[in-house]
Amino acid sequence: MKVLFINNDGGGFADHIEVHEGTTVRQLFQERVESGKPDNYLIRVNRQPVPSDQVLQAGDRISVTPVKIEGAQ
Amino acid sequence: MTNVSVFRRQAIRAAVRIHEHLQGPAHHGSVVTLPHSAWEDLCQTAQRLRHADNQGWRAASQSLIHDVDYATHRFQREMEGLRQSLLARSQPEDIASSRDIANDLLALGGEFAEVSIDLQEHSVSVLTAGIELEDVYLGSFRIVLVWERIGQRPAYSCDAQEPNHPQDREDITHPHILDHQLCEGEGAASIKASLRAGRLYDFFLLVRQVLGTYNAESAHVALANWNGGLSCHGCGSWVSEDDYSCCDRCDDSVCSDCSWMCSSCSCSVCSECSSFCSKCDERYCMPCLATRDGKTLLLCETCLEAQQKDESDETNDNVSVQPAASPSPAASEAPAPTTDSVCVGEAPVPARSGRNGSRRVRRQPARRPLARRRRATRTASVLGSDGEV
Repeated sequence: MKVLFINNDGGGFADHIEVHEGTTVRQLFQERVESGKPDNYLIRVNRQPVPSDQVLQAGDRISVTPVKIEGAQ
Repeated sequence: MTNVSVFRRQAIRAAVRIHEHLQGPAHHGSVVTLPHSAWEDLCQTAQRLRHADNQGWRAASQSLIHDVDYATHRFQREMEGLRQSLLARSQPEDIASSRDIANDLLALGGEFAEVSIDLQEHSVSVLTAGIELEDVYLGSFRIVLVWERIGQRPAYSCDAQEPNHPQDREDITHPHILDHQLCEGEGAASIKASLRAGRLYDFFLLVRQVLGTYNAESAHVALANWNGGLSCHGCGSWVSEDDYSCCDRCDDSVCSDCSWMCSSCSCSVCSECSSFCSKCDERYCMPCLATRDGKTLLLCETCLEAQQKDESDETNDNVSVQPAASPSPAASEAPAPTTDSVCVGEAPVPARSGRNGSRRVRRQPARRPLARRRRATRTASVLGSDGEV
């Protein structure tokens, strides 16, 4: 099934990706953000905070935004 | 009609207009801008590192490695932002639909204390919670996005609601905000991508997270100095009251990066009161440098004497010497300096007009010297074992 995955870490990519039925939010995060810990990110499904074990549905919009983003001068 | 339904109608109307703008002016109006400034900065910094390495200046090299890393990171960020903008222009279907934009606006209420839409001003604004960084309370910020400016910079501003300025800096309300403009740093590419695509929910979240993160390595004013300190007359960066020196020539206060020790008379001088000898590349105060008639190159006494000796060996002609600073009347009639004299000419340096208020505040100067000579009392920590002074 297809979902929209938005990775706001780095370049800010937004892609429609294919995931297996029954994939949870945690599984998708581990697959897509390999070096990241969930605690260091704001994870939203359809713009809402959700439990990590929530099962994704077709057409879901998942966004991953780092908690700490360093500004500059 | 309830407030919720009023807001919902505003959100839908705003979403349609935002979508139209993104499809039209924002998409076609964006100019491809190559990061020339970032590239030039990287080239200059890398060149200084190569020079320091060639000279064997280990302490300077170590310091410059950090500068090169910073410059590389900046260039990488700006190139990534350029790639994203090109990608967006080549794939117009990546722009969010009016429905998605409306859903973004409606969802903002779950993240921010206050969300408002002004259809006349073409703006959407959110109010963050109070922000405290390292025990310095900065208050809440209103992030105001003017959607008609998407595709131009800046499209949004960050306005402090309870401004807590550093001393004498009313233009700074946050370590990474200058004149209401956020320096996005690591968030620049994502913020740009989200605005171009119309993902306003992501945009406001990203800006909020940047506001909530302190980068001590690159702040307009460090939080440690928020309630005290002064501005370097050389580079404009903020220094604590324990970490600056005064130029012996002009009395201006400068940071350690803008402070030099003359290789001849050992006085402590700022960048403006000193320069490199064109021959030996050592740093001297201006009175310890000289130019020859018809020449603009600055030379120290040793190099000047060497050059004169070479020329007199070749031509046997005498040349007159003009010191870099205007000499006193008595000094101008004095004979050519001997090897025992410390300075070629001694004259007061004209008073400087003061801090360049137009220069953007930076933690590090735009051009960092290759090698430093510092006060012995303050520089023990940067001396290398090779005895570099």
